[in-house]
Amino acid sequence: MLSTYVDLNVRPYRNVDLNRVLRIASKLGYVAVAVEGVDVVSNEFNGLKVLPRVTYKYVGKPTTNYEGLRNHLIVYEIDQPTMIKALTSLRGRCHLIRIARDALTGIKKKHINALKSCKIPIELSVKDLISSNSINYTYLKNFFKLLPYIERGDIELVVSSYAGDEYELIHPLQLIALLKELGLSELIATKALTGVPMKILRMVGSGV
Amino acid sequence: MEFELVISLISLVVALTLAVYTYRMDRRLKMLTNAVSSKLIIKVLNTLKSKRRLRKRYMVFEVLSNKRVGKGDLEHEIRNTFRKIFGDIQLARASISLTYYDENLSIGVIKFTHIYKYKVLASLGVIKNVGDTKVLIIPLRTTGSLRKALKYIKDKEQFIKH
Repeated sequence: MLSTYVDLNVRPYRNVDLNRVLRIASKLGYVAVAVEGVDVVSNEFNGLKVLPRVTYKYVGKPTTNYEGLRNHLIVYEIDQPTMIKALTSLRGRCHLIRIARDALTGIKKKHINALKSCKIPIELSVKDLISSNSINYTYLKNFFKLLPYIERGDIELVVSSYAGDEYELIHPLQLIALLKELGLSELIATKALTGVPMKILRMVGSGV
Repeated sequence: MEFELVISLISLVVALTLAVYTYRMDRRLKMLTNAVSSKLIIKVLNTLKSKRRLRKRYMVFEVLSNKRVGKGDLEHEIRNTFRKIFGDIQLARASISLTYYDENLSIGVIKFTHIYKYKVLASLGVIKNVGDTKVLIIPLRTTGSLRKALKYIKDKEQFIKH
């Protein structure tokens, strides 16, 4: 299998050495990582591509000014389920929509339909799914609502680590195994870590 | 003459419609037989799978942590996490045990039943703490025998020394 694993969300804590996180990410087999708080695209350990990422909070309409954000991964974060509406205005304005833990908790069918119609890949984080060496029951319950749509290809899924330090990273094979055990097919689980993020990375080069 | 032409035209039309009809029927029949055979194949495969002998697998893994992690604590945490996610019955069937762990190198070998590979991988990914210590477990290689797993560790050890 061609291993082009990508982690689109690394947000290091203030006191954490970013180089150490990137070294471990490279060791785990990732070929590209999008990091919050980095300004330029660079190639680090063993050709690991580091991309700058900007996350905006979605408050009903997209930000109009993207000055100086060329080659940045632009993401809109939704932290309330009520905000999942009229997402079509984000089409062509961002690369990815991040669904925060609280937003997924209260998700309903009408929200899923809005996500379906906007045709932008959604990002879910493993950090939200895993809590104290176990799986978060509430998060998982709502994740299962999205699962059939992802499996059918109506919604494109990207899974990222949302790692704050090197210990919060996760090996891509472990992540694929976890998604498979949650009920996704192996193909879709692999695509969530390889195919869809790579497609987004190609879009990042050409801007939004 | 005209009568013969009409007859031949009618026969041509009838022949063409029959050809189309038989082609369509043939396709339907083929689809039906394929469906039946695939269902049969799946059934046969499933029965064969359930009767297959359960084999052992040995997964070599590395532990990244800021403090040294003990073998007992690690094994307890692996079993505990597997139980939390998949339950006691699956844990008993998977027969997980930490057969080897080098505390200096932080490399170990975990033994389990071959059909539980993905479940073991998933539960290793979920482990983020052992006691108070933050850990990251990296799977390195899965082998069919302990000898091969230990050989892999030995080779890795030599590679690190040089």
